[in-house]
Amino acid sequence: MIHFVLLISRQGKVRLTKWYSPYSQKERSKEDNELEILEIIQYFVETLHRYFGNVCELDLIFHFHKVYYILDEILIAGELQESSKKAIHRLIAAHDSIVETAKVESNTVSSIIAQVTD
Amino acid sequence: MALSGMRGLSVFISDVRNCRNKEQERLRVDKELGNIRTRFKNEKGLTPYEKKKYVWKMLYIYMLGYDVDFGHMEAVSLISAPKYPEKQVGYIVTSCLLNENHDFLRLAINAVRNDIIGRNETFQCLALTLVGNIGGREFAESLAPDVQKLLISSSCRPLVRKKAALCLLRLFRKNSDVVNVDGWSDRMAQLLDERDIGVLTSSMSLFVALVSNNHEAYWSCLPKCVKVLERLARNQDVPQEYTYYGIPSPWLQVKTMRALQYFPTVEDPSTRRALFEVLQRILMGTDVVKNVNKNNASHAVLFEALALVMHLDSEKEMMSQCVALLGKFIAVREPNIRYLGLENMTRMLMVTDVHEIIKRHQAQIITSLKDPDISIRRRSLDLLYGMCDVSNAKDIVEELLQYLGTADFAMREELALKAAILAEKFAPDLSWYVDVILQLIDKAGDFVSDDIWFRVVQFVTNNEDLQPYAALKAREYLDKPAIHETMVKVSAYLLGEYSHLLARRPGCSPKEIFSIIHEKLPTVSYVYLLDYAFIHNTNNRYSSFNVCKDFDALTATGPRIAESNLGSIPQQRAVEYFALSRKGAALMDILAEMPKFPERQSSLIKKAEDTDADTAELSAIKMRTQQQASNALVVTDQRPANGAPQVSQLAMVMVPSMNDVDHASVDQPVTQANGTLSVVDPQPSAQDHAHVRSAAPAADILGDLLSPLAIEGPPGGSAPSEQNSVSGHEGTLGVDDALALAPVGDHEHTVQPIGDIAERFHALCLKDSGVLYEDPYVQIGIKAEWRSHQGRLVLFLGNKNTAPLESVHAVILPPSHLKLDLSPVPEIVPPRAQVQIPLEVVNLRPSRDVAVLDFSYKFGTSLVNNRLRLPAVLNKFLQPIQVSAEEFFPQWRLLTGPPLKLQEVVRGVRPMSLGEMANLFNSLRLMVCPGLDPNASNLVASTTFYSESTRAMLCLVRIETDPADRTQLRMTVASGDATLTIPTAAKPSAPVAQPTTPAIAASDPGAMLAGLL
Repeated sequence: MIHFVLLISRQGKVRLTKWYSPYSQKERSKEDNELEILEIIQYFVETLHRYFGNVCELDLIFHFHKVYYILDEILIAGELQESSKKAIHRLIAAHDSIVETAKVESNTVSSIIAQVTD
Repeated sequence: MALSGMRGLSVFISDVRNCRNKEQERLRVDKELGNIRTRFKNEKGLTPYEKKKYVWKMLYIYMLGYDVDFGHMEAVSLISAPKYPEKQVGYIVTSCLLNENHDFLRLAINAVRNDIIGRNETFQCLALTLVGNIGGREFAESLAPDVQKLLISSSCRPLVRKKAALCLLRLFRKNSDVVNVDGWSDRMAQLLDERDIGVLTSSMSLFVALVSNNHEAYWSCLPKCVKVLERLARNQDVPQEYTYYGIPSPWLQVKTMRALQYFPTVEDPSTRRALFEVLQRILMGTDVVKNVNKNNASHAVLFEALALVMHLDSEKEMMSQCVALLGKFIAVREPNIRYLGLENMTRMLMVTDVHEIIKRHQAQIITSLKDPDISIRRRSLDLLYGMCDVSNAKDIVEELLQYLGTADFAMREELALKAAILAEKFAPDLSWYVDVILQLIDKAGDFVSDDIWFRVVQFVTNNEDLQPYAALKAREYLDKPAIHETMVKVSAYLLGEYSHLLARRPGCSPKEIFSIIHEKLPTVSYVYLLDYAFIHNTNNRYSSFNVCKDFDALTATGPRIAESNLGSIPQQRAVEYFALSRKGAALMDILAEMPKFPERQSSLIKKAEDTDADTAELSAIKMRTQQQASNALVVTDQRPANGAPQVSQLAMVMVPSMNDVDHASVDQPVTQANGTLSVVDPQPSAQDHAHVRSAAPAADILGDLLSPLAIEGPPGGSAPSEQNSVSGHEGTLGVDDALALAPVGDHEHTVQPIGDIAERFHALCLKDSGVLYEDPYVQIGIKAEWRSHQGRLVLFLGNKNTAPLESVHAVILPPSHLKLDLSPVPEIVPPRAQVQIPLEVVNLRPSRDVAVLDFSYKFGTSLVNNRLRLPAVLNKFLQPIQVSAEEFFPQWRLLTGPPLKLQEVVRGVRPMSLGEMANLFNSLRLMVCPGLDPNASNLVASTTFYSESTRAMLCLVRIETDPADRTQLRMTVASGDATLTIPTAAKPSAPVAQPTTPAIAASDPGAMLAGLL
C-alpha cells in the first residue's frame, strides 16, 4: 500500500501532502510490487494532465484543493480504488457541477437578500 | 473553478509565493494565522463561504509545513454542513489535518455516520473516503456494519461500493478484532464475481487483507481469483478504459496474484492447470518495449507472476524458464528492470534445483557489479554472495577482491565483510583464506573491521599447520613500503606469536622482526606500545639473552615515550610495559603462548545480516545463515547445562587473555587484586586513558566473535587490570597521577537499574525466587532454598548484552549473625550468557541486619557498582508450626513481660482485611492458628525460628485489630529467648513486630509491609 503522497516541486517546495497513516512494519506482510506503485504515481499524474490539460505547477498551487479531491478518487487507505481515468473524470465533472450549481444558487440568494436589504 | 470564487485564498497563495525567503514566508503565514484565529473567535459573524475559505487557508498553511493547532473544530463542524460545497471542504480538510488519534475526530462520528446511512450518494462517498483514510477504532466500532452493508448492497452504485470496500479494508487492517468478518467468505466470493473493474479492484485489495489474515476461511474464493486473472490475462470483457498502455488493469492483475500467494497451494487440478496456463501466458507474453510506462506496467505483472510461480513450487521446467527470463532482464537497458531482475534472481536462490541454471549467468551478474547504479551494484553483490558455493568461491571472491579497489566507499565495508565470510565458508584450503584476508586488509584496510582480522587470528591460533604460512605471509607484507594500520596490527600479532617458526629464514631473526615492526609502529600511534607486547611474546621463546636485550630496548624507550607527547595512550602503555618489564620471573607467565580459542560461530555473518537489514528483505544473507554448513570453523556453542562447571569453564576462558598479569601474580591475594580493580575508574574526564581502547563499540562486534580475545586481546581493554597491577607494585613510578584513580562512589552511574531495587528486594523477602536486580546489561536473579537455619541460594548472573561483561565482581558484606559463603564469581560473563553462583548461608543468631552483595562490573568506560541487599532475612529462618490451644496458652502465659514478650500498638497502617493479613503471615512463614483467640477480629500465629545458636525456638504472635478502625492494631510477640524476641520485635520481618512495625520501620520487609498495609 501507499503510506503517503507528497508532491514537491523541483525547487523543493511542497505542493501537496497526504498521509495514509502508517501501518506498522508488522502489518506489512509482503513487499510491495514497486513497479505497480510506480505506475500508480504515473497514473495519478496522467489523471491530473487530463483534468488540467498539461498540468503545471501553478495548477497544483492554485487548485490544491482540486488535487486533493482527485487524489481521494484514486487512492483510499493507500490503495488504488479506481483505475479508469474516464470514470474519475466523470466523477470530478459531476463534483464540479454540483459546486457550480451551489455557487449560482447562493449568488442568487445573496443577490435577492441584497436587493431586499437595499 | 471553486477557487475563482475565493479571491482571498488566491491572494494569500500569491503572497506566500512572492515571499523572497523563508523568514518573510513565516511572517506572512503568522499574520494569516492570526487573522484566521480572530475570525474564528467571533464565529457567529462567519458565513459558510468565509468559513470554507479560512479552512482551506489552514490546509494550505499546514501543507507548507507549519503547525496549525487551532481551527480543527471549524473544519470538523463543516462536515455537518447541509450543502455539498461546505461539507466537501470539511471532509477533505479534516482528513488532512487530523489523524485517527485526534480527539476532535470523535465529534465527527455522528455526522459521518448520518452521511453513510443517508440516501445521498455523494455524501456517502465523502464520508467513506474520510473513514477509509483516517478512521480509527471508534469508527470501526460504530460504522463497520454500515460500511459492510453498503459494500454488498445491490442498490448501491459501484461508485459507492468501491469506496466502501477500501473503507472496510482500512477498518479491518487497523482493528481486525472489531470488524466482524465471520461468514464473509461467501460475500467475498460474490464480490469477486463483480463485473465492474473499479469495484473488483477495491474488493481485491480488501480480499488480500482478509486472506492474509486467515486464508483457511477463503478457499472457496481461490477459483474466483483464477477466473479474474484469466479474464484479465486473456483480455476478455475488459472495457477499454480499464486498459493501461494496452494492458488490462495491471494493478488488478498484480493484486490478484498477490492474493493467490497467501494460499499455501492450489490443489484442485483443473484450477491449478488453468492458473499455470495463465502464468505461462504472462511469462511468455511480456517483452521489453520502448515505452517506459508500458514496460513498468507489464513487468509489474510479470514479476508478480514470477513470485507466484516460485510460491507454487511449480515444475522445474517452468522455473528454468523463469531464470532464463530473469537472465534476460538483468541485461536490459532499463535500470528498474535490471534491479528487479537481480533481486528476483536472488530470491530464486531459495528454490532448489535452479542453482546451476543461475550460475550460468554468473558473468552477467559480475558485470552488474560495475553497473552505474549503486542500488543495482548492491543487488548484484547480494546475488553473488548468495549464489557462491565451493565450486565458484574462488572466482567470486577473486572478483570481489578486484572490485574492492574501485568500488564506491559506501560499499567497501559490506564488500569486504562479504568477501571475508565467503572466504571463510568456502575456502578450499585455509592458506587461501589467509591470503584473501590479508589481501583484503592490504587493499581496503580502512574498511576491514576489526572482527575480520580477529577472525583470521583465531583461525591461525587454532590451526597449527597454518601458523608458519601465516607468519611468513605477514612477514612478506611488512616489506611493503606503506602498509595499513590494520596490517601492522595483524602482522605484529602473527609474528609475535609465530615468528619463531620462521627463525631460520633470512630476515626473520627475532631482532630483525623486532626492528621492522618497530619501524612500522610509529605510523600506528594508537597501538603503538600495545604491539610491543607481541614482540615480548616472541622473545619469550628465545634465549634469555635476547629477552634481556630487547627489554633493554624497551625499557629505554618506555620512559621516553612516557615523557613524549604522543598522546595519553602510548604514554600509558609505555608506563605499563615498563612496569611489566620489571616483574622478573612472573614475566614468563605473562608471556606464555596464546592457547587455542574456544571455537565459536562467526559473528561476521550476523553482522552482515544487520548491515543488510535495510536492503532487500529477502536477501541472500538470510539464506546463508540458514544453510550454515560452514566447512571452515566449527560452530560450537559452549554452554554446559548446569551451573558449576560453567563457572570453572569461564575461569578458564580468561586464561588466554593478556591479563595474565593477574595470573602471574598468584602470590598476591586475589581479593586484593579485585579490590584494587574495582577502585580503578576509567574516568572519562581524565585524559582519555583506557576508555579509547576498551571502547564499547569494539567490544560489541567482538562480543560474540571471540569473546576472550575480544575483551583482552589486541585493541581490547586489558588496561584496567594492568593499570591495577602497575599501580599496585610500582607506585614509585609516579603512575598514580596518570592512572587517575577514583573511588567508585565518586563515579556517576550512567547505567540505571530497571525497576525499583528496594521493591524487588521486598518482593524477594516474601518469595524464594525472582529478580534481584536488573539494568540494561545485567540481570541478577535469585533462587533460594531454606532449611532450618541454613539456606542455599543461587545467584543467576545474566549478561543481556551482545558484548561480554568485564571486570565482574561480587563480594558479600555479611552481617555478624550470618555466615555466607559465595562461590567464586567469574570475572567475565560472555555475551548472552548466564552464570550461576551458589551461595551458602548459615544463620548464627537472630538479628535484623541484612547481608549486602557488593556487585560491580564494567560496561564500556563506566564502572557500574551496586550494593544489593540479599533477601536472607530473618523470616527465611522460620518454619511454620501448628500449635494447638493446649500448647499455645501455657506457653503464652509462661512468657511474660519484656524482654520475652513485647507489646506494641501501631497506628496509621494501611487497612487490611484479616484474610490479607493471614496471607501475609503465610508468606512470612508464620502459621496462622485459627480459633485460638476467641475474638474473631484477632489473629494468632506461631512459628519456629532456627539459628545455629538457638536451634528451634517457638515464637508466638498475636495481632489485635479494631474492626472500627483498621488503621491501627496492637501486636504482641513472645518467644522463649530474649535475644530472639528483641530483634524479632524490633524487626518487622520477625514474628514479632512484623505486621505492626511495618509502618514504622522503613527497613527491608518492613517497608514492603508498609506498602501493603
